[in-house]
Amino acid sequence: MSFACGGVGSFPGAALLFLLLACGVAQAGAAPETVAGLPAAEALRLGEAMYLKGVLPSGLPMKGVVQGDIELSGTMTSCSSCHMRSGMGSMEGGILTPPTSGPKLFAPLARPQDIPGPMMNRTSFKNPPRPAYTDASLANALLFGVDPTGRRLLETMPRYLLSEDQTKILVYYLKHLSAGLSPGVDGEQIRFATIVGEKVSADDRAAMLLPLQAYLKEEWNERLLVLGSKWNARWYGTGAGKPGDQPKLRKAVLDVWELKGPAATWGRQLAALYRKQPVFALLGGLAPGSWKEVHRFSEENRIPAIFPTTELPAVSETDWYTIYFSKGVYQEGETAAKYLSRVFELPKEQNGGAGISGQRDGARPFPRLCRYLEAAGQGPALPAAGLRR
Amino acid sequence: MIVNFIFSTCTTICPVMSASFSTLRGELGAGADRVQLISISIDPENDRPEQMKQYLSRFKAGPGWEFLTGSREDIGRVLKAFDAFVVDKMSHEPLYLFHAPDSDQWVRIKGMVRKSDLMKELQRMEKK
Repeated sequence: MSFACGGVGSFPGAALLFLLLACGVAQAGAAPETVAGLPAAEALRLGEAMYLKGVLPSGLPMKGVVQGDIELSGTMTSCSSCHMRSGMGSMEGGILTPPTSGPKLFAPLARPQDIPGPMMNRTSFKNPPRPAYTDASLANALLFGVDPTGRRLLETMPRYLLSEDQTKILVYYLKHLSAGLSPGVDGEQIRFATIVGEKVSADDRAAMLLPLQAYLKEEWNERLLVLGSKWNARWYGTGAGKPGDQPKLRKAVLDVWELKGPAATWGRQLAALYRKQPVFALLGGLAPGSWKEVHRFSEENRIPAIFPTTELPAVSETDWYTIYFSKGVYQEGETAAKYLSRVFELPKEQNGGAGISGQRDGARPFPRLCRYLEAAGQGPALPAAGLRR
Repeated sequence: MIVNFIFSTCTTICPVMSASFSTLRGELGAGADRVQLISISIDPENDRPEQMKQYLSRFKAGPGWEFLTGSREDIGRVLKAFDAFVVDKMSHEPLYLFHAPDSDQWVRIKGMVRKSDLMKELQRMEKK
């Protein structure tokens, strides 16, 4: 259904490994049944709003109680805040939030191996192991904080005040959360694409593309896949447990998507390329100008995009699917502004004008900056509004 | 006065700590102004005044609950003074620090607690 972007490391290798771990993420399939009298697709949509935004089907915020006597509202936080959009779970401040994806909830949680990833913690597995949830026992967990063995969940997990229908919708959504393979992933491989714009020079193209291809070939496919399979065999035990217990390590494949013509047409080109051959995620990428069109394509189609090479990212507080190295020129601007605010004492306002008015001709405004720039041997390209050298 | 350390993009423990401040104020009702609540950001790079205002409104904060930030250095000094310093914001732990007027003592409550635990400590301080 969606992809957990939290915790991606700051170097590409960690990000790629994270993708490898996360590749069981799913697209929920519409079932023919009805849920609480609603078509299944509608129930999934409403369940998603509950899980991601803490909003009830009525549009009101979900209510719950944490720590025994603290009221919590859907405007304050949501299921996905702790358990992640994918339902992978997380670990923060010493609190483990176990996975809430369908395959994890509706299967026994018996061994540390059942929670993959760095947040795995042996002490969170106590006897007896947690058997698979059923619709009824999951409803009990959501409403009363009790697991199928009768154990009480941590008080930090809200006990939700939900009607019977609201509970059915949320349970149905959880059952389908990350329940199948994402586009671009099959039993054997995980497919990525990178983007190259038409006007990119051959040198830049090679600088972006060659390390990426070399990483996927030599590091991922020839080294990590082999090492990872050995590690998994040791950790999960060969032949032990039920089939499919062991997470599948998949071979990485990289497509190169070439964008032509004006940026306004990129969205259509990307959609056509994606229709022809879906990919799990976009890696890197290089195209002149703003990354806005590619960003929008990723967001609309829920395709993760990691570290595009761009100085003009689409800056958003709420968008989810693209992770940039930095805010590019916007960050440089902010840094410069922060620096300037530290080294200058802005002149007092005079005659009701703006803060940097009121300089006399011939006076040297901002002497510290001028000294700094002179020492650096650089003439600043300062805007005309009073910031003259 | 109760002080805690949070950041506005924290996903797990901060929403619960902030909800506890929010419901504590509700419980105190008209007496809410007896207790000054102070949340200090441990993520000054991301927590700008706009984000912090928005955060407080999410938790229906009002006068008497301040969300403060400062330079990285100053926040580090405050954290160290309260023996609450962590190198990484993701490993910060739930902590409430109580201080009564005219007292030379601070009371630390570490961990996720109930609203009634916070109330009990406040009542204990008022009796003294």
